[in-house]
Amino acid sequence: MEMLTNLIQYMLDLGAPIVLPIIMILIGLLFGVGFRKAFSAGLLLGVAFAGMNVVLSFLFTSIGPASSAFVEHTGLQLTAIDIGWAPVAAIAWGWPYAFLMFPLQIGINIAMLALNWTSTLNVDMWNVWAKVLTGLIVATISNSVVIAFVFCAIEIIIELKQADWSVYLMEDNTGIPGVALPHSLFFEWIIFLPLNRLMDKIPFIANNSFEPEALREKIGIFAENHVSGFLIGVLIAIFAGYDLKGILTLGIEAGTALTLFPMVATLFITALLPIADGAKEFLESRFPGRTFYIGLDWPFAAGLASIWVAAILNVPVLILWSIILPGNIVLPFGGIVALCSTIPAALVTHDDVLRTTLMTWIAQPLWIYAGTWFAEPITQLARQVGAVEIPADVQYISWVSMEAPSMRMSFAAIGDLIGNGHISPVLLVAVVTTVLFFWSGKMLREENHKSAVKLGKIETSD
Amino acid sequence: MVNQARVVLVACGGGIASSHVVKNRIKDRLEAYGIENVIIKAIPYLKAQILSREAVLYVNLSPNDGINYACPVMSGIPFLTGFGIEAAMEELKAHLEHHPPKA
Repeated sequence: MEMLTNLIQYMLDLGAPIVLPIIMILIGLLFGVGFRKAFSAGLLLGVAFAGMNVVLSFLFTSIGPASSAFVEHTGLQLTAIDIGWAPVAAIAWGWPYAFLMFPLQIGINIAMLALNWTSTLNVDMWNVWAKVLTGLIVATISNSVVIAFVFCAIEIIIELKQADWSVYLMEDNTGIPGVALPHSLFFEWIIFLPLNRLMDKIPFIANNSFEPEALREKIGIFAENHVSGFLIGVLIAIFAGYDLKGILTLGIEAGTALTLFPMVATLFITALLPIADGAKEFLESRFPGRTFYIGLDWPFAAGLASIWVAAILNVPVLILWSIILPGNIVLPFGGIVALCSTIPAALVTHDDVLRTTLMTWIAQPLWIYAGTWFAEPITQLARQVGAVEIPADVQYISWVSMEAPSMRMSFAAIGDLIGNGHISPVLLVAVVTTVLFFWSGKMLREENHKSAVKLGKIETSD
Repeated sequence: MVNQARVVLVACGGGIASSHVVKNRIKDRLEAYGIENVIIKAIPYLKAQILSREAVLYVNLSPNDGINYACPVMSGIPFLTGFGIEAAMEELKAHLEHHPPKA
């Protein structure tokens, strides 16, 4: 145990840009990809990490002072800069236990398939990082890596079950058979399904539908990173009391950061590909000849126009909520296009843009509070593993639109109770989430069944 | 004379994760088949319609989206699920044969 702690500390001291390539090369060799490919992938991972630090550094020097000026000028305590998913993912991979999530996910998936507890084969290896994020948040809050892993295991099981329970709903929405969505971003069906049923009872909403496609064409430009970044940067600068030159400069710098973040993220993808492919082949070879639902990353559903329209219409509302919600410390920026809210809503409402937009507007506080509570663990890890100095005028970094806020908050609160004996008011969220998971779970299976009947499939299970 | 490369588009939500996975899978196979003069671009989903004007093929990761693209479209789902990749590659090769590189 002592040796393990020392090893972890040594890894943290070396820094992620060095440790990650080494781990990656070893895993690559383990998967038999050959030394050249393993070395290239490993090096690329280190480069990706260092590259992300370059962009983050740039962001901090531009937004950092602006966010402090914003706080001073407006009196609003929004001290956590929302940096969005790409750099948060990079930071997550810097967690010393990150790579253990691969065997955890693969192992649980295989076990559950073998025991016939699931019909879903989750080949989405990129989103293993979502479990890493859950793990590092829970580990930090509960002070226990073991507790964190237990909850990550639970998350993996929940993902597979929700995939099973919604595969026909997916096909109904996208026309693609046999593809399921284990991704934790879908999890807020637990609140959107009951909301959807409620909206069935409101005549105006139930009787009106709008074509999202035309809207998507008109306002799609606002979802583009350089545009949304520019607009948010300008807004922050205005409220920070900057002059015209300062406003325009920050706008462009913000647009730059938001455009570059995803570009660096592609380096992560390419670097992790050998693991992703190897894991996929390993999984598939275990069950030859058997049909499953294939769990994929969310973009197969990107054709639902409501996702995009609602996300854009949500931007001003998200900003408003962050200003008025008591106790919120997150300044929306990188996560301003809240896809993790609009995707589950659009899927549950079958691409109904009015309902998707309204549900997103109503439920945003959940995401914002998750961003507030988790700012500390995320910032702490970033300071520990990153090669970049988070400057003094940046207090926290966070993410205002993360996946499954209710699940993560529940895990963290329960972990806090078990690990520290601390009774947090967030335990209420945990209770409600658990209840909803089972109650809405029945609704999800009902909707799934309705879709199956609509598609002409005969349901023989569940 | 330089052969003009043909552009094949792959798009996903942000133009990052899934589209890069598919791009790499297609690239590896094209190399194995010795097919050249193809540029595969991973782009954000919202850009696909505009960029389809300059492409010879759009590998759609969210097929059935009901959008009119300027170039031919095929489903990229097999490249994500891993099932049916061979058939999908045959379809892709057929599209490329329809558009030989301009000499």
